[in-house]
Amino acid sequence: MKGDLTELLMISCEKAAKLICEGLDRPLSFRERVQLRFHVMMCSACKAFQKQNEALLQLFEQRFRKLSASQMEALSEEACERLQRRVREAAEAAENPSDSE
Amino acid sequence: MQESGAHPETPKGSAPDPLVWIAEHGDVLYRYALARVGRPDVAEDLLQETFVAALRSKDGFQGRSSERTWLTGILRHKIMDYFRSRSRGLPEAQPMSHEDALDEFFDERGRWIEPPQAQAARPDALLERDDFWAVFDECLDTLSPRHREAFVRRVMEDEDTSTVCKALKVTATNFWVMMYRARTQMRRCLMLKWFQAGEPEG
Repeated sequence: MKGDLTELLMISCEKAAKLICEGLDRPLSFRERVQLRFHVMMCSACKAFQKQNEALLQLFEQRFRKLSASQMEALSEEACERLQRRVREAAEAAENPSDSE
Repeated sequence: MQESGAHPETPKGSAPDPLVWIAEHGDVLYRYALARVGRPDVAEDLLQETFVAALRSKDGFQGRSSERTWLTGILRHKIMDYFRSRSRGLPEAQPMSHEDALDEFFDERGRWIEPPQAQAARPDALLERDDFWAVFDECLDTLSPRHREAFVRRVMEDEDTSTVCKALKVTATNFWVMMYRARTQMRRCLMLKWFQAGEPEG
């Protein structure tokens, strides 16, 4: 009984790392969650791996998903004018196709 | 995705005016692009391409979604093209060998060869640091083109698994493996190049 339980719970660091990453893209099964929690409890390397992944994920989320208006620079006036000019030129070039696509 | 669906007739209003687009959506689209590509000049180029493409598809915007959503959709395609085209200039061998080497994170018994160490990193402090995002960009380049596309779509564009699988023509299981590799490699690269080398902060 005890042997079965250990076998059930024991996973390698490689498996744990895989579960940590896959947990971001799919729901883990109950068994996988238990295995992972048990492993991370005892393994400082995988705990560090998990923490780093969470920290990075948080960082990516803030940058790519929850961009708040104040967080990043906007188009400068200069860039805005440049962009207007370039769009106008490109649009004109497209209407008079002497250039290639 | 946004492209499909009905085309309810909506008043077209005046002819599309890129200057109005730039005034109304320029900042938002620019931030969107800059957050992903990390370089102001590239972000500006992508915006230009987006507006020109929008102009050319005169009847592209049908009022199905907001004008901004429509423009963002075009921009997203331009961003994906950018990441795809960038991979053409890279030597194939290097990212591939990185990829092969991934399994060498673990020994034959599945134990870490270089165990990750706890860091005292404060991620929020990194958000506004351009040099961090330059390193991020370098790390993105070490991924193989397929892994990079998977990573960009899933993490940066927040596409769901089934959408990415369809786009990349892979099964979900393959996709999870790809993402596992991409994430592990990105983590390692960032740790090596930034957290350990760059920041002496304890």
